[in-house]
Amino acid sequence: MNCKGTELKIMAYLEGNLSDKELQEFERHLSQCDSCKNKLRQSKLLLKTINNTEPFEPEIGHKISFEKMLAEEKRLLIKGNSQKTTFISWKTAFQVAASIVLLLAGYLYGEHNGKMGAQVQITSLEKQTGTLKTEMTLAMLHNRSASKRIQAVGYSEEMKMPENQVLQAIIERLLNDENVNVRLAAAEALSRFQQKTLVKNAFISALETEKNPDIQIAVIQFLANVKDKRAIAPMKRLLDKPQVPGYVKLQVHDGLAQLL
Amino acid sequence: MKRTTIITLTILLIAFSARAQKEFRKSLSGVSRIAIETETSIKVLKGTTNELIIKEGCADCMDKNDMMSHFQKKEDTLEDERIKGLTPIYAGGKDNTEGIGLYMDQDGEVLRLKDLKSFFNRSGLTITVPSSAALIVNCGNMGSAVIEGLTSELEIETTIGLIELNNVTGPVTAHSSVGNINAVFTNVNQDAPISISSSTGIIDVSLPTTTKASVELKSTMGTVFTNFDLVEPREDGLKAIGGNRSIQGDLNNGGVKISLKASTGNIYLRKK
Repeated sequence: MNCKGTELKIMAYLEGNLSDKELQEFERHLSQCDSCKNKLRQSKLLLKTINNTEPFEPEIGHKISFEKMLAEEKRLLIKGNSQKTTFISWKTAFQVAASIVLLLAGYLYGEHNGKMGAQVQITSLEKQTGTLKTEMTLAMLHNRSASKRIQAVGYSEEMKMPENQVLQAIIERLLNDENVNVRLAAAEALSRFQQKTLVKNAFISALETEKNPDIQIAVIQFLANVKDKRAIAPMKRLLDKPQVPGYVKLQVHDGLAQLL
Repeated sequence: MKRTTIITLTILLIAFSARAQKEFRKSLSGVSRIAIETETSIKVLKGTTNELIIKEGCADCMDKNDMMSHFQKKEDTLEDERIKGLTPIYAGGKDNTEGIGLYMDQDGEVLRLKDLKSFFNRSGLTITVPSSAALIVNCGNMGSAVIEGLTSELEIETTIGLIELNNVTGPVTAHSSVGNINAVFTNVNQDAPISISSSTGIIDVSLPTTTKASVELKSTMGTVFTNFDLVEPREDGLKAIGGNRSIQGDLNNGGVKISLKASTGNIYLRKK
């Protein structure tokens, strides 16, 4: 063991904390080294002095002022801390809340506005296409081309509930169109509206005026279907007409059976 | 024997066509619709010029088995001694087609031709028109209509006569009260619907397999036959689908509307 190691263990030696092995080594070194013996003696003296010194009692005023100071310091620390934290949380919370509210309000407003705008646009567009379709149909029903007139009659089938104006125009085709196929297409398109008095009346007058057997059959079938009793008399008249072909009369019999 | 028959027929045909050489031409600039009203059978061919050509006589548009062809009277020939210095006049109006016997009238874009001669004074007309103008034909009570290769819009109406449409594209509106209607489409125009109806005749329509269309088939008292897949297929080739209601179906996912309607006749819809 060298001097440095021995010096470090002086305090432990004096307090009796060294193990047997350490103690042997310590004492061997001490017997050979005068400087370490000297240091031990000084350390013994220091300890002895510390142990013999009376503890210093502070004066009463000192203690009070110190504790007062401490308390004041503590108070200040706590107050400052608490003030600072609450202030920060309130502000942040307010800021976050404000931004959320703003964002939400903005979003909702935009959403609402957009929806309203879109809805308004959609309704007006729907209305426009509806009117356009109606107008187009009405115009096309008077086209020179029979095929176009048939197409126009077909458009009415795409409309959920065509306006009376459109129905009226198709009825006019049924009663007056020079082309058989157009009249036939009109009869079929109108067959969908069994509840409309307008349509039923049209079929009744078609039954009186129509000469083409195909349309006569369509008209008879419709009137028998809707069970319109007004058809009975004109149907019976058809049976008396020699120019009416047999197969139409067959349909009349069939229709009358349903009506009577 | 066979050869003699052929020669005789050829001579007859030549003689007939020589006699029916008379023709009338009219430029069709500014005309978008041609309306023809006649009592005789007509055949309409597609022309290459923008001209309307009307020839008297129609060799193959008459149904040879048709009873009516026996009533056909030979036309008066202008070479006849008796009519020198005279012109034929008609109840329906004045002939303004150089002796063909039609009354022609142009109203804007519509050219109307009204036949002044009756069914009994005619043995058909052969008309050549370009495909640019829509054609409206009314063959009256007795006439048949044969249309070849026109891609313009057609409106055809006959009472007893048959309607034959060969290699057309539509739009077509055809009606015959008693006559059969045969139509062969090379292509189907998607602009406007096709509508074919006959009261007692049959309707026989051939469409290309790739046709896009929404078809509606209805025969009140007849049967509908087709080899298109409109309803659940059966094992046999042509299948009967019918009943009182109309049959509706799409060909190749749908397209222009094609409606075929018959009262007592059958309907045949075939793949070309």
